[in-house]
Amino acid sequence: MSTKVYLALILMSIITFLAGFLNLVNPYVVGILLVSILLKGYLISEHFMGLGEVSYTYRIIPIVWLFIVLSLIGYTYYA
Amino acid sequence: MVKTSKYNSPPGDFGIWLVVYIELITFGLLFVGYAFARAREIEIFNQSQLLLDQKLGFINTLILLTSSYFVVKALEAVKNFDLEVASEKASQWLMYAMSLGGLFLLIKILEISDKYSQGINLSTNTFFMFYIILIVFHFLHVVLGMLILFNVRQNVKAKKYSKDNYKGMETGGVYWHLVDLLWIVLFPLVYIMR
Repeated sequence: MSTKVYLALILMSIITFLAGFLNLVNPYVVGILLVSILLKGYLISEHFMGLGEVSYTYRIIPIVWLFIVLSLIGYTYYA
Repeated sequence: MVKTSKYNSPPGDFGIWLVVYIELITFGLLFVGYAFARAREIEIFNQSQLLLDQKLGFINTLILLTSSYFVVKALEAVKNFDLEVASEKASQWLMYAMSLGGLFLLIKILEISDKYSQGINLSTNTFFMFYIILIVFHFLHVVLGMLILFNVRQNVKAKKYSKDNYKGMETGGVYWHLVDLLWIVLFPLVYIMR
C-alpha cells in the first residue's frame, strides 16, 4: 500500500511541476493545484504519518488544517 | 458500523503530536501570510517568482517524498521481520532516507547561496522576504529531522526496536513526514502558483 501511495504522490508532484514549467497556471489550474495539495496532504497524514489507523479525532486535525490554509490561499487568488 | 481496529491515540509519543500541531499553526500562518501579501503585490510576486528554479524545487520534492517513503519502509521492516533482519533492513532504509535528506539540504544551500550572490536578501522585496523565511525555516526543520533520524538509526542498530516496541521509531518518523507535509504545500505555493 505504501508503494502505491508513494507513486500517487510522485505522480501528483510531476503534474504540479509540469503545470508551472509549461506555464499552464491560470485560475482554474490554481484550483486543481490546491485540490492536489489537499489530496497529497491527506495521503501523507493517513498513510505515512499513520493516522489512518487512529480515531477520527486525530485524523481530522491535519485535514482541517490543510482545508483552512488552502481555502484562505484560494480566497486570495479568486477574491 | 463500529470500527474496532481504530486506536485511541496517534502513532508515536503524544508529545511529538503537540510539536506537529504547533508547527502546522506556525507554517499555516506563514503560508496564509504569503498568499495575502501576494494579493496586494501580484506583479512583484509574479516577477520575483520567475527568478526561482522550479526544476530544483521539483527535484527537492521528489527527494523528500522518496526519503519519507524510505522511512515508512524502515518502520515496516521493524514491524514485519525478526529482530536481526529488521535491524539490518531498517538501518539500510534509514541510511537511504538520511542520504536523501542530506541531498535536499545541499540543493537548498546551493539555491540560497545563488540568491545571495545575486544580491537578493530579506530586504529585496516582500516576495523574497517570505521566500527566505519559509525556505530557511523549513531547512532548519529538515536539519532537526536529520538529527532525529540519526538517533532513530542508532537505536535501530542497537536493536532497541522490535515488533513489540517501535514507538520511538514512529515518533521520529512522524516528524520526518511533517517536514514532507509542509514541503508539499510550500513548493506549489512559492514556486508554481502565479
